[in-house]
Amino acid sequence: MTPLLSVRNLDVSYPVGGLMAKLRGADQLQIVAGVSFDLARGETMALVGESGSGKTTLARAIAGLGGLVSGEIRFDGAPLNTSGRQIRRDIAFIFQDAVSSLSPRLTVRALLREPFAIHGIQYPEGEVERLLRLVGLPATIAERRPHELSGGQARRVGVARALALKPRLVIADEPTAGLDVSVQSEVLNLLNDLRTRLGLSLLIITHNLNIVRHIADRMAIMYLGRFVETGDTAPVFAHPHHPYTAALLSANPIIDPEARKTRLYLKGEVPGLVRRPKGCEFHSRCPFVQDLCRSTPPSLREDGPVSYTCHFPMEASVNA
Amino acid sequence: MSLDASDPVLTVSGLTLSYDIPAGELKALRDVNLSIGKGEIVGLVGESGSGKSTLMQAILGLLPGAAQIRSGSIRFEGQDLTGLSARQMRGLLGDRISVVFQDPMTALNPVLTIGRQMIDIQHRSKLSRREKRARAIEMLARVRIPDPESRIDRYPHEFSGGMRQRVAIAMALMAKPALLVADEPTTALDATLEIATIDLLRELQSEIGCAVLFITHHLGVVAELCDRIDIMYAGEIVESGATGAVFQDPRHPYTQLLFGCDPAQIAEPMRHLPSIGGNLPDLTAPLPGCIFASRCPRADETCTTGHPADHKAGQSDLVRCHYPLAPRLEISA
Repeated sequence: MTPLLSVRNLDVSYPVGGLMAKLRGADQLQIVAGVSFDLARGETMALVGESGSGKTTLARAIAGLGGLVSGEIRFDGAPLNTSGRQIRRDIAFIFQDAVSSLSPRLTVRALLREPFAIHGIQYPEGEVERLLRLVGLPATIAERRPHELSGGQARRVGVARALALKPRLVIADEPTAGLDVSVQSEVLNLLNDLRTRLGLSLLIITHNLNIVRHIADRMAIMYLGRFVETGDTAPVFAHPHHPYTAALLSANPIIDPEARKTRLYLKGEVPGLVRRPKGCEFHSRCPFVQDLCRSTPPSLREDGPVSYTCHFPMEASVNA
Repeated sequence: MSLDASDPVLTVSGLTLSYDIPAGELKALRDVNLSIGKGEIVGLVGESGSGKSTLMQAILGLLPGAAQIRSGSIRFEGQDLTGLSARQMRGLLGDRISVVFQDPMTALNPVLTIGRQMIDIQHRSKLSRREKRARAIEMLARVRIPDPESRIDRYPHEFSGGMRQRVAIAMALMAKPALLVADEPTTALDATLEIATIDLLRELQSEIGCAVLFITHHLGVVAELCDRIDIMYAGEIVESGATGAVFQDPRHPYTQLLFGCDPAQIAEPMRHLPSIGGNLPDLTAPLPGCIFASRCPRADETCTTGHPADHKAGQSDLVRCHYPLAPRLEISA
């Protein structure tokens, strides 16, 4: 079966600078570089990485929300027309900031009817109530405006709005950022229930590794706009190959004081995209850097269900 | 850290506070007891709406006009902060008590250089301007800002988020306060930076010896950093104790359920995550019984009619529950 979404060698850039930059040929800043992956129907994939790693830019490019895109995106086997109208029905986006993504002037009812009006679809009677029920909100909420909602409620309205036109792919940008653990569970359970019930594919952007471990089938770790490691979630957690993955996993605050001792620290901060490091782009922060890493970019390697780009991958740790 | 619990830096006792709102009186804090020993790091945990920020504002004297302290006291180094004038409070803030806020971008003034702000904050000191600048550079070096001599003349936007938060920490600790209040200082940071910031905070704290009130909803951070943990729910502190002990054997049903739905504490991957269910109670008209009764699976008539007292139970110092010794609740997905 063809994957629902298939991305090949995707580059995303943004125009920068003025005339001088243009003359120097440096008027584009490459945010996402050479990303390839497939997403199957009903599958959940998590994009993980630090701020500035290009997670959101990649997701927005797939949803046709900006950036200068080159490479290939196929949706359901056909090239994706990112400027067309159909894409807005097939791919829904749940924005990071739930409250500010909803117009403060509209009631929840108007917000949920808006997608139908925009696409010229006859509004099915009672659909607002059905959507609210779907996301577990009381019907009375329909007459409220966004500022009268709690963070969790606004998030659910965002989910309801994303689902209004029955999309096949839902992209959720930090769907649980700033939520308390109990509400976080509710939002994630909701997305997961809808995935199984409606057969959706989910692409979840997050930097919360605790939730990735529970809800994602596969994960991709991004650094400076590239996938440095991708694979099935459990094997990546059990044996990270790329030192960056290992560092991210070990930076997760943990309850058990014993487990803290093996923490892996990174040097410095994320380098700027304007001057990408030569060789392996991670070498400037890698605790295990060697001469080869400074000169030669590593190629993609595979180890069972995991692929990664590193010259000197981490060994499987004993306590994993 | 050795703790001198007999002589706490800060003691909040019986603090009850409400907001006047059009619908009546919102009872935001009810009979809150909290104590922070010298050099102790205390984590204050609670979901949004639990009153963490109100409690912080009450301690710092930053309450909005609609807030009324009904009863109770906040004693800091022997004086009651609730009775201080704005002027007296200003004398304490930035000197004996300082704060690190959540968002390092808005905490720093964007139109002044870091150096100017770090010199300004020393306005109480008798040092010369040159000496103040030298102290600022030294402090920047201590929070590991590379090349502090030239960085000090830069503006906040020229620093990354993690560096800005480190500058804010440097400024807060400049006057060697007795108490540092940190309001979710790592929430806006990535995991790798979060850990680095926590390590830095712990290191500086042990050098300076100040007490820290660390407000967060990230349980992992509390486990890593804090000596003690206080858990707030709907305006009350429901459990308090040494961090390790509370994580190992929580005694309040809310704490038990909260830990139960923290994905970090669930070992086996599960698709469907547990949640507590229900919503925060209406604080304009709280029921006479236990504040958690409406969501507690164990609640009986005692719980819905009588307000529980604070008990010592297990290894926890305070458990506000009628049945603090009942077996631990399991939460199902």
